[in-house]
Amino acid sequence: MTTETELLIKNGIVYDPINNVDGEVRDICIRDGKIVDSVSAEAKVIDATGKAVTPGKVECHSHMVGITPTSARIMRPEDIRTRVSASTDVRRAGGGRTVPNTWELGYEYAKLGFTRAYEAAVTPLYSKEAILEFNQYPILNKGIFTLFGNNWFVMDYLKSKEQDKLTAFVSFLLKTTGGYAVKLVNPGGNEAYKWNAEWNCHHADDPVPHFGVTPREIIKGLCIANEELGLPHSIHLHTNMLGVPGNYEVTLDELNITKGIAVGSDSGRVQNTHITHVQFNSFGGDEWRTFNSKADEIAKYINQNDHVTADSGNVIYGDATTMTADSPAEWALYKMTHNKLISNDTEAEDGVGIIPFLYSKKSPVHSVMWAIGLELLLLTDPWKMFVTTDHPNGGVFLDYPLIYSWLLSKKTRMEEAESSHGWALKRTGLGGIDKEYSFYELVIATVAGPARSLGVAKREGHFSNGAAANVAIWDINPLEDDLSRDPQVDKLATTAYTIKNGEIVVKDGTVVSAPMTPLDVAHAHVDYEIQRTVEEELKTKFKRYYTVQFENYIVDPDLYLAKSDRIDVVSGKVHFIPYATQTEEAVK
Amino acid sequence: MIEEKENIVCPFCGCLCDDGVVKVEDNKIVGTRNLCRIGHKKFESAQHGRAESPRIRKNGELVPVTLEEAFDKAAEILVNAERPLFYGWSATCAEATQVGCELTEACRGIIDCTATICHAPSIEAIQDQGAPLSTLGEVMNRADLILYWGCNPMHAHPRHMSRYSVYPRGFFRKRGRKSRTIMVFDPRRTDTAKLADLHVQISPASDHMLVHTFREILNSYDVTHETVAGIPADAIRETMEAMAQHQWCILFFGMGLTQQMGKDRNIDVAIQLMHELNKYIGIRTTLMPMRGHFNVAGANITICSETGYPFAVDFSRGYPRYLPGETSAMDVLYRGEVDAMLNIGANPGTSFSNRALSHMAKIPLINIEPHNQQLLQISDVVFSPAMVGIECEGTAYRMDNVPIKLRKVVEPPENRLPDVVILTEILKRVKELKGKGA
Repeated sequence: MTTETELLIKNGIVYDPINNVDGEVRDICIRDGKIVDSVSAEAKVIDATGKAVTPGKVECHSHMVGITPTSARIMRPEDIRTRVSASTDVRRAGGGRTVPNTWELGYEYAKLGFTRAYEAAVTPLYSKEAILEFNQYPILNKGIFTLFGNNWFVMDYLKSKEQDKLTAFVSFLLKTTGGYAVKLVNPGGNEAYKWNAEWNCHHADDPVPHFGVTPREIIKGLCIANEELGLPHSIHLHTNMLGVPGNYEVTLDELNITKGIAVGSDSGRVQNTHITHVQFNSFGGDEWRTFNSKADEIAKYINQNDHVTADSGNVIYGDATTMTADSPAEWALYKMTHNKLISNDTEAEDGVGIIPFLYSKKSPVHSVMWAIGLELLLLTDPWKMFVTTDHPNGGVFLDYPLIYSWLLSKKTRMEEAESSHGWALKRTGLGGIDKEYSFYELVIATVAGPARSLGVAKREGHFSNGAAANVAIWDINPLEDDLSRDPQVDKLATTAYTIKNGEIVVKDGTVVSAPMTPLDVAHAHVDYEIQRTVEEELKTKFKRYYTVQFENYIVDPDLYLAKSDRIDVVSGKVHFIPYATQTEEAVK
Repeated sequence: MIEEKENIVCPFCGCLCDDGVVKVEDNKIVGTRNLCRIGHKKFESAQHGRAESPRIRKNGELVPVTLEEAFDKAAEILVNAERPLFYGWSATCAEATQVGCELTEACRGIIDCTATICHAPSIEAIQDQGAPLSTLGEVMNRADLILYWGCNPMHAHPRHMSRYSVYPRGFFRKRGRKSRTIMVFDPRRTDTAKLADLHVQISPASDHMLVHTFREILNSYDVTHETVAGIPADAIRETMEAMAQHQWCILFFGMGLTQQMGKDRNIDVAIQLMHELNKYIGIRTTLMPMRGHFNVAGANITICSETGYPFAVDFSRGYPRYLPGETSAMDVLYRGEVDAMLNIGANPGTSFSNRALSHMAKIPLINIEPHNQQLLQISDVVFSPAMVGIECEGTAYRMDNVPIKLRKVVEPPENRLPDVVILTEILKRVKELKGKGA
């Protein structure tokens, strides 16, 4: 993993927003996979003169592994055929755009300068599969967001108003299923959908059938649990009514629920809620005919309130595969398109829906959606709004450079808007926005912001001494080139170098080394007594809820998590325990 | 002293029952509890009739050799082959399949699993229509209408009805069997059909017509024929009306539908029917293939996440290609393209046609199989591995794709290595030999 060799990146134009470094010519020194002050004369030198040097990018929301992407791969062989890569001495074969195989994902993310990525939704019952796939996912550090929003145990504890037990349950489930953060998808709505495809929770106070709790209670309860545990990331929220015109009111209402809950973690994050792919939740109008953008309202709320961060969920025209645990949203898409739909309901946990989708420039609605994503990014503080496409829902991660170009250059953005349907400018405020991202702001929205929000900023995402040496070097000179005239999409698409833990993994757009990297698992400690009570209760209920035994539900740490970094959280203090030291502990 | 090991997962069928108790005395399996007769037999006879390990065919006879020699020989066969086939993967663990994918890639061969001759049509139908799926726990907790079509779980998946679908008391179906209606569609009066509330005894090979007639009725078309599939049109209408009285329905289908005339087209219309029931009547409907081997679902999933395609993946050009009907195991064997084969976790000796077997007899065949099976007679290198789920750990996927860790119950006999280790050793040698060639 880490190399003994030293590395010196000379004369690069360094962008390091966490340390307020905005385009200064500096040297970066690396030893043993960490950033250091200085290196010896034998260090290998990379001449980065005239090149931008940034920390490795962080993907905060993407669907890459687990039963959902794999079901999509099974369903869409036509997608793998669209681009294929042969194996070499360094890399495995693969292919695909919207649902590539695991190897391809690792290599392609690394080429785009990413060094860390998080799988956005894993049903706990299927987490063994996600972990098995992540163990075959090279180069990037990774973690899993575990689904909690429709879990029967969560709703049981909320119904009986036992917050302390809910907190212990969250800690238990994350630990035993290899999760990193708490994900809520359409809280309560999926449980309703499981009875009838037309049912859903339509607003924050719409009670869940049988359980009687509301999405409001679920969001609040899990947010409090998350902060009581002090997990590194906040709750990762996908609000109700995704993809329905007029849903921005529900979004604002649900964002307001967690206002005032104090952050209980020292991981460096300031938010208690991360709202994800918010583009799909910023719709105005009453129906598709009156559909319009309410991005300004959402952006205003996020700018004014420090308890929220968000990612954009941009739409890029072209083929996509929508996949989400929000089954009612997928059902609505199915009725609209009659394209092939996979839905998969999981016992006592959550559901899943997958449907291929084509975003068309000629479609008025898609044009507005395209514009909303950009509006959100341009109107919101980049420390609070990060670039994603909710891969592969809004678009493919391979097309991220297109979004960067639309942010960096108004000219490029307006060209795309003018070739889209007229609604792109009529029904949104995009035409009136003159703002153009500087390269520094782009680095905030792709590196520093996500790293801080995800709670990894103490170890990486910047060039402070001791930080993990994850570096991307770009063949771009933002000091001299005018990116607003020519955003250089091709150069944003592949790095000159990607360095992972001090090892060069990508050089001039070719993968030269593909180390396997560990998975992050959060171990949050709770009071022993309550933990035992909850485990006993789970064992009793488990027989009624599940068809697997409790003992077989738990992910075996030796077989699956042997190579995972542990994030120990003790009373809000985050301790990072890399797996190398865990083995040393075991030997002792 | 007899030790009882609990929560043991049964590595036999796609039900993957995980509540088994296995009695072990002095590293010998002496009995089981909770398991069905097949599962019991699997554990009971696991330690008997094991193939000697490892062996190589010399002058027409299988001769015992050292492990090293067998690994070298296997690697040599694979490296010298132009179009090796790696077949099976259904009775081994996902971890072994992962190594298998890398081995296939390194040898530029073809990887295919046993789904190719059982539920591949289901996968092809999913590629056409998607599918509303659910886990077995959803069936237990919610289903009040259960359809078995072209399958006979009483014999093939003996605990399926008692554990997951018909008899268990679910969270919302507290009276178990009494809360549910069972319909069986089968040309034969099977033991499953005898238990059903309604047995629709259709004439053979007319499944597609019957499903289509259901769809006609649902979509308000007139049924013009008096009888369809041997069933009077009025009876079909009444069946449809009876189905519509329920709240939550699941269709379990087996090889009676997938390997019947029409193949993937049968599943295709069945999926459309399920989508339409969801859409028009408002009863929640899902469907699930009755997967046979304990890890055949896992073979598809693992091959897919590794290569992008679920089965029949060809690496001859260095990148994965998937053309069922061209790159599937049967077809490459029929065309005589394969010049070496590795078989693991399957028994083509009983399931392949004579034509395919006669080609297999001509080519070098590496066989990784714990017991003395028919295929040994034409195998050239034989490894007897530790049995996954009994003598070593691994991951398997239930028929609803839920991953479950298989447990180790007893120590393997001497010289019996897990599949993962055997494949990794072969892979290591293949890479060395390939490196030398370059």
